[in-house]
Amino acid sequence: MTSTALPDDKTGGLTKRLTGMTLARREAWAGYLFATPALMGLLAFTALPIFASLILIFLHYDLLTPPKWAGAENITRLATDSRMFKIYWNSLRLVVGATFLNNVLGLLLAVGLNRTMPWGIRYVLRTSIFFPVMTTTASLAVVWRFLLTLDRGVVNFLIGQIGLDPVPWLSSSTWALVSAMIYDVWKSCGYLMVIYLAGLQAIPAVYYEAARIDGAGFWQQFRNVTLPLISPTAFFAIVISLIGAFQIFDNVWVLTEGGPGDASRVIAMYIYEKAFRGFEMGYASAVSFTLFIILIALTLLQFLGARRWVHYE
Amino acid sequence: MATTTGSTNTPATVHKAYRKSVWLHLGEALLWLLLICIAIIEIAPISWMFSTSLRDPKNSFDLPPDFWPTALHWQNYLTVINSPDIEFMLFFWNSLKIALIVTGAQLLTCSMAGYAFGRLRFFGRDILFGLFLASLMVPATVTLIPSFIIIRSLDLMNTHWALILPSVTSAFGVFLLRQHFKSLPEELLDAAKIDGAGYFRIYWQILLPLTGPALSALGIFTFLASWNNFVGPLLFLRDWDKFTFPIAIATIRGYMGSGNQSEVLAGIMISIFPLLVFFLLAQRWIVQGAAITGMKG
Amino acid sequence: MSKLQTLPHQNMSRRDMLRLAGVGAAGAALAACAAPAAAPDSGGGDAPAMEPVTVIATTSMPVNTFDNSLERSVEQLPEIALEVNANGWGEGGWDGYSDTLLTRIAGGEQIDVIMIAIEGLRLLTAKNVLVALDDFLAGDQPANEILQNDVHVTLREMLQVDGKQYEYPFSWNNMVMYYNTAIFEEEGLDPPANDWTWDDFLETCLKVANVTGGADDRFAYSFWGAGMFGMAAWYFNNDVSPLSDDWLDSNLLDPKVAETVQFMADLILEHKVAPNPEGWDEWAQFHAGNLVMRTCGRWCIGGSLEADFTTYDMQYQPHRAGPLRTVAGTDGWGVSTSSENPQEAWEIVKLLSSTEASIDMVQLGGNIPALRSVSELPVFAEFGPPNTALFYETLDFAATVPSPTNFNIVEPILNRNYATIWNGERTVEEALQTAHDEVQVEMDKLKQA
Repeated sequence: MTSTALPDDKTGGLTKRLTGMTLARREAWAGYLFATPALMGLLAFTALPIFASLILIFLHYDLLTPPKWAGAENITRLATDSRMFKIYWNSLRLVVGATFLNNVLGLLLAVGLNRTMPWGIRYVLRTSIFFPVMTTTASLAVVWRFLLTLDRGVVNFLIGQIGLDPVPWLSSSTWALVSAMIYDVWKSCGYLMVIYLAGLQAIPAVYYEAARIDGAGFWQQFRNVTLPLISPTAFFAIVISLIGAFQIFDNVWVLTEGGPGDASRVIAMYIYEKAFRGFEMGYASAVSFTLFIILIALTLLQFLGARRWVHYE
Repeated sequence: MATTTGSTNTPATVHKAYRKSVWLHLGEALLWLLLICIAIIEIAPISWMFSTSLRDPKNSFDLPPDFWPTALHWQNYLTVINSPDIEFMLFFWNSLKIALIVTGAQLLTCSMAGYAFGRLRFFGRDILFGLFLASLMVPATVTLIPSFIIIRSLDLMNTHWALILPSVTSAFGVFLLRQHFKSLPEELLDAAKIDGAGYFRIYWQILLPLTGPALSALGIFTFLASWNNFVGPLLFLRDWDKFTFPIAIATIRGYMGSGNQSEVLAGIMISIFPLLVFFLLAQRWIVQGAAITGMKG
Repeated sequence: MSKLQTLPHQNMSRRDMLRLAGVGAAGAALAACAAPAAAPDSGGGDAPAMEPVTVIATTSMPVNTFDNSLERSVEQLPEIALEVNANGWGEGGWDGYSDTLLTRIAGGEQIDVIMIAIEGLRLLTAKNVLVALDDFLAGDQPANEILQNDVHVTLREMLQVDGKQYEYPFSWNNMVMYYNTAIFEEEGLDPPANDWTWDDFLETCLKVANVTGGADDRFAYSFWGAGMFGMAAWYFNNDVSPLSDDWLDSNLLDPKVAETVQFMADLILEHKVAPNPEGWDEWAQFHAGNLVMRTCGRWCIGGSLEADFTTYDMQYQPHRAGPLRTVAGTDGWGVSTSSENPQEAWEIVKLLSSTEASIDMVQLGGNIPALRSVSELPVFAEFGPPNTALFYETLDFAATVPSPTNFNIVEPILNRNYATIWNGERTVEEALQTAHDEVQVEMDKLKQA
């Protein structure tokens, strides 16, 4: 399909001045053709499922016996589901906390690494900080669960050595979510670091030289040169870390199983449990749809807000 | 006068420079401290895992913990490898196969769409791209239930297709490559257009080679995401011989759930070992690639 | 000599077994063809007649429990290619197991033979997943006789719903107190008596615990803090159950429920002799001597065998009030309604519940065999601590673990609410009230349906 565009276009190039409109049309066709494979994937495995879940919302369906019409029951049930609201609150705190910490730490680490230092040291630092990014979330969560156990746990033993009281990392409502957050930051801040590092390295050195000639100090350089020029990178980094944080699932699944109570249950987990443990596909779809709407709204907000603080050169 | 001003000026500037350098040094020191602390925190759990995987299972929970191997109980690894039902080479191959196919497919579909959205003008482009952006924010959980039903009705349950098909494209990849295509200088294209190059040629011969770093970045992260996928195999794969690494490990955990922590950790070590080797060899690429995902031009 | 001979089989993977099964079947087919026709060159005559029927069985046990059964199936049932796979990933007990199983069946997967315990049985029969075995039993006198005569009535009836036998009992469990004999000796304690009370137990706990927050911390006792089975081990000894006797209502507001839970919470929070269960690896800590007592069924012997841990013994759970009762749950093998070869599946059910399969399980330190004759074999006493006979003795006063149809929903509710008691964030009364409200809603739904 795409190859036919090639000879066509050659003539298009030749007759460009004469037929501006056809060129636009040809370009449009090429655009559609190039976008088609990805678009089909999107339709089949994102749009269609969303559409299907729209239908499921109105059904009682347990996967095994034929679905029954539910009317608006699944929707009205949402309003009375106090567990769901609590779990949304958990998700919100986790997402905001993890996104904030990942980005701040990522940027600081990047600033730290973006300086002259011996090759070997840079290699070791970068390797250590980045390596957890490469590991499997679920497997390393198993490791962290061992580390964070309240009684006879490794972390509590270590902080006991410096005279601190043991922390109920996994078993307290306050700490369970914090532990999930710590684990996520441990796992992902290296990725953010590398992204920011690239953003920093892309800033032409002349800007800093100019700032230095103007007498700008370290902080002023950071404030007036680094931050504005890195804002597109930061925008991207924040968008993807938000997405990542909303996807957190196997992390909590292994670490705390959502407990104690619902203290660290996140919305993705709740949907999974309603669907594949309670076999309430209709209601699970209704919950997942609320999440969908919230996320769309959030994305729009981000892109609108981005105009205010993201500086493209 | 000249001498006095000179003499008063000199200490002042020296003092100022001195103060500046104190701040500078303090900042430097703090950054170093941060880097070193974080590096230690990042690596400690992994070295603890390695050290503990080499302990005699009886002592796996002994305190104080080790962050450096003090025992060399390699039998744990042998137990895991020789365990009759855990065929590591098979899981390795399954994971690799799926990850490679998914990566190849995504590189193609995403770069094509990225080119369309980044360099071509057509009606509805921004709306379509908006759709991709929106779907970027759709968590897998939202589509999980209907995907299960779709996979079932396509009769793909318990096949690797159930993992491959939903991943042939990704909104993230489209977004990333669109940004990248968009950032390439227009002059490149002008020259090509004067030469009369068609859209496919512009895409394939001119722009694609320039997106090498972005492509490798997307490739690496797609590969990792596929390699580490947990919920997909959990829901779609049933047969032992179709398992991928992550659920095989989760299974070992249940299978050996008799408190033999050292063996569980040995299993996890084995599963991350290929990644470790790959990372140490291709670190430059990977880090650059990761970096590319976050920047444009 | 004999050890050498069995070695290759032990190292043989399940896949090898299947391959072997194929070869065996082909061999049998060849022999069958060759005998009457005596054809010197049996080119294509062997293929279609004896294509083995694949029967897939799924289990909660480690699949290597059935390695020898696979081997036997090759010899005894050459017309069947048996495959045994594990269901679930070791998380969530029988509730997680039932959910995973239903998801697999909903996904259209072939499963012919299903292991399920009493906890998940009613859910599966309600979803019409299991075939009643009565017709098979009626036509199979030997199997029926074993079921009637060698399986205790309690175990048999546990796997019946509305008077129909849905699963053929294979194994069962109760809960007893495991204790580290070396530490008891070291502390100068006598082994607990079989009529010990909660007060005796607490006294023992306070004596053996040594918790200061250091590397040598030793906890007296730990429990799962979750799970119907583990909690019932305590409830039943206080003459109470979290659900009504017909399993159709919550009984969580019974003061004796609160009393029981309070006693357990105090072990953690007040006396500090038990760890918070979250993340605590009971098995490893018990073997390392960092934990002195734990409650478990017979399957816990398996881990100790594997870890070469021998300095332990067992006693009944301590008692508080009412008649002596021990919680019990039975699992078995049943035939799936989706099986295309139910007759072959039934053959496999019998094979996997046979005396030989039971002995294999006993030797791996698994559950208590449902066949009384096996528990009377020397092998049962051999693989276990001195007091192993205890397991079978309890059958006469065993009471069934509460297993409502919505077990997979009720158990997670209870677990969630228990957890906020063990961490001291809610009082026993608050948490039980919440749990009661949640459970009762589900029970009412169940009664309506």
